Amino acid sequence: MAHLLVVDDDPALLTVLQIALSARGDQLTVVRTGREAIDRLALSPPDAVVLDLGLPDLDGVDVCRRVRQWSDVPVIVLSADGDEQRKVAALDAGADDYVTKPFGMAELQARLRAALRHGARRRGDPDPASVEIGPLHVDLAHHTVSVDGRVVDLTAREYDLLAYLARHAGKVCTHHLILQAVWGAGYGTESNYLRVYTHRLRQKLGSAGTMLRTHPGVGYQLTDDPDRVPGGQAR
Amino acid sequence: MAISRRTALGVAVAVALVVMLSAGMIPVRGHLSVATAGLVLVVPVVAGVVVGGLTAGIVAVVAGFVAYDVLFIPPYGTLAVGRVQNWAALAVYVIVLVLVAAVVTDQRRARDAATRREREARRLFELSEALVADSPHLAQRVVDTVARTFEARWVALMLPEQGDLATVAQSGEVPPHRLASLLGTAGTDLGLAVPLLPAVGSPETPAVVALVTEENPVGLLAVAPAPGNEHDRQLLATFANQAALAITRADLREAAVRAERLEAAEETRQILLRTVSHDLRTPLATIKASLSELLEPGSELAEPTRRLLLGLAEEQADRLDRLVANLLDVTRVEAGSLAVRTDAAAVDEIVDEAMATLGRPPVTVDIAADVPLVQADHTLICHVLVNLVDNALRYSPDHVEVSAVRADTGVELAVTDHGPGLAADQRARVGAGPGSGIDPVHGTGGRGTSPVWGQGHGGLGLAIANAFVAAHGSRLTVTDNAGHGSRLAFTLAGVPMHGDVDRGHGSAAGTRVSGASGPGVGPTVGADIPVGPVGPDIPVGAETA
Repeated sequence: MAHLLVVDDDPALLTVLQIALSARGDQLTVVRTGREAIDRLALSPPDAVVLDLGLPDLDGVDVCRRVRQWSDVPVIVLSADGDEQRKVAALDAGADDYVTKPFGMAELQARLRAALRHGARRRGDPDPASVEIGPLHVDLAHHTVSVDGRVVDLTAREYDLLAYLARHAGKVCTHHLILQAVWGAGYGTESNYLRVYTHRLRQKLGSAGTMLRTHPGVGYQLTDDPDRVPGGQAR
Repeated sequence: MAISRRTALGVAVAVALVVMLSAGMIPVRGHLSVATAGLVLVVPVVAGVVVGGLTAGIVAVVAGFVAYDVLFIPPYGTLAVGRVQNWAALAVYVIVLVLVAAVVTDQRRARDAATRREREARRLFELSEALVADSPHLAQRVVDTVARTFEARWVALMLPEQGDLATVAQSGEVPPHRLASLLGTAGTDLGLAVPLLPAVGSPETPAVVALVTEENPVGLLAVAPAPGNEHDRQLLATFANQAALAITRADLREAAVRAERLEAAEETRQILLRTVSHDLRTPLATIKASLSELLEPGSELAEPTRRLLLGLAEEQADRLDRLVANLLDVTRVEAGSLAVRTDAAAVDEIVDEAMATLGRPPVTVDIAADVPLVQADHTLICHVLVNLVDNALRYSPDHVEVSAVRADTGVELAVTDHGPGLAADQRARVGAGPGSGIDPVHGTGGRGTSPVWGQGHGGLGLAIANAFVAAHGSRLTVTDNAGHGSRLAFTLAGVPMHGDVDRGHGSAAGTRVSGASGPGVGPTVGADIPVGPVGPDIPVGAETA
C-alpha cells in the first residue's frame, strides 16, 4: 500500500482518481492547489505525487522545481495542454514521468507502479556502486556493463550515456538534461547526437535494448516496466 | 526685345517731368544759375528710375542731359557748352544721375528678391504644413495644396498600387488622355520617371515630378500648367521631395499598425487555442478515466461506485457539450454571423432556464420583486449566466448565489461565490486589485482581455460571457469579495413599465455582433479586424426597441 498525493483542481477528475486508486489499495491524499501540495509534501512525505500542470495558483513546473529542492519523491505530471514544451519543462525541473490527458486508468497505474519501484530503489541507496535493471547490470564503480552476465563492449561516450540513464532509471530524461550531463555544459540542443548513440546502444545491448525507451520530442528513459507504452501518448 | 510695361511707364514719367520742369524753367532761365537748373532736372531722372527701373533711368538721364545742355547751358539752343564752369556742372549732373540710378536699381532688385523669397518661403511653409498633420487624406491634401500654391489647372498624384501606377488623388479636371499617357510612359518602373520639367510652352503641358526618397521612387506628381519660372520649378521639386517623405512615412506607419494588429490577433488566437485545448481536455480526462476504470478487467467496484463513475462521466459529457456550444459561439462571433436580438425578456425566466441547463445545481437564486423586464437577447444572456455560474461552481460548489436587483438604468445581474481559492485566482487572472472591471472588450485587438482568458478555468466560458455582455452594450465587472470569493456582475437595460411592452416584440433589433467594424464600434485602433471571440461593444439601447 502506497501513500499517494494527487494534485489537481478538477473535482470530477479527483473523484474518479480517488475511487480508482483506492480500489487498488493505495492511500490517497488529494489537494487542489500548488501551495497545499507543497505544504502536504513537507508535512507527510508521500511515496509518489501525481501533479496536474495547470493549477490555479502556482505553475505546476514551479511546484516541481520547489519540491526537488528538498525531496526525491517520484513526481508524475498530468499535462492537459498537449504542449510538449511544458511537459519538457516539468521534466527538466525534476518530474520523473508524465501522463497526457486524457488518459486511461491502466496507464496511470502502470506509471505509478514504475515510479514507486524506482523511488524505493533511490531511497534505498542514493549513490549506488552498481545498478541492476532487468537483465542489465551497470557497474558504476568499474565502468562495465553486462547483459545476462555477458559483458557488453561500449565506447566511453556510450557508457556515459547508459550510466546516466541507469542512475536515473525510471525517470524520463529530457534531451537537454542528457546532453548537459554526458556531453557537457556547452551542449543542450544536439538531440541528433542522442539519436545516433541510443541507436548504437540498443544494437549492442541486444535483448536489453528494448528497455531504452524513446519519448519522441521529449527524451529517453531506461525502464524495465513491461507495460510501459513508448511515448506514453494515448493518441 | 519687348519693353516691359513698367519700363515704359518709367520712361513716360521721366520724359513728362523733363518736359514739364523745363517748360516751367525756360521763362526764368536768365535768372537761374546753371547748377540750380541741373538740380531741378535730377527729379525726373530719379522718378523714372524708381518707377521704371534701370532702362527707364538711362532714358531719363539722356533726356535730362539733352534738355539741360540745350535749354539751360548757354549758349542756349545748341549742344555746345560755353564755359568751363558749365562743363563741370554738366559732368556732375551726369555722374550723380548714373550713381543714383544704379543705387535705386540695386535696392529695387534686393527688395524684389526679398519679396519673392518671402513668398516662396510662405508657400513652402504652407506646403509642408499640409504634410505634417497625419491625415488619412494625405494624398488629397498634397494635391490640393499644390493646386492652390501653383494656381494649377489640374494636379494629379500617382502612386504604385499592386504593381501598377494609379491615380490616388487629383484636383481639377485632368484630361484623360494626359493621364493615360502619363501612366503609360511611367509604366511600372518608377525609376524611369526622372524629373521631367518641360520648357514653358503650351499651357496644357504638365510638369511631371518624380517623388523620390533615398533613391527609391515613391510616385509621380503631375502639375498643369507647368510652373513658368525657375523658382517655382525648384519650389515644386522641393515640395515633391517632402511629399515623398511624408507618403513613405505614412506607408511605414500603416505597415507598423497592421503588423501590430496581426500580432494582437495572433496572440488572441494562441490564447484561444490554449484555452480550448485545456477546457476540452479537462472533462475528457474525467470521462476517459472513469470509463477506463469501469472497463478494467477484474475490477471489483461496488454498484454505487460504478454508478458514481458513470454519473461523473455523463456529467462531464454534458460539460463538454456546453463547451462545444461555446466554441461554436466563438466562431459565430468571429465570423460576424451572430445577431443580438434584443426583446423584452423576463429575468426570472432567463435565470430558470440557465439553472435547468446546468442540471439545477445547488445555487441560491434571489430575484428582487420589483425587477422590470429587460431589453436583452434571451438566449445569449442565458448563455452568459450558464457560463458564469458554471465557472463559479468550480470554485465553490456549495456557495453560489445568483441575484437580480433593480439598478438605475435597468437590472443588475450578479453571480457571487464564496470559494476560498477563488479570490486569489480571479485577481491573478483579471490582473488587478479589488473592484476592477474586466475590460469590456472594445475590440482593441483582444489584448486587453487576455487576463480573463488566461490559463484559468472556464476561461473560454468567461470570455464568451464577456463578449455577449459587451454585445448588449454593458460590461462584465469583477469584484473581489474581501478575500472570500468573487462577484461577477453586469447590467441590462430595463423596459419601461408604463410603456407599451409589446412594442419590443416582433421588431427584434438585428444588431450584428461582429469582429469586423460595425455600428457602435469606437474609434479604437484595430476595430476593423476580427480579433477572436471578443466582439466590439455594441450599444443596444432603448431606441432599438
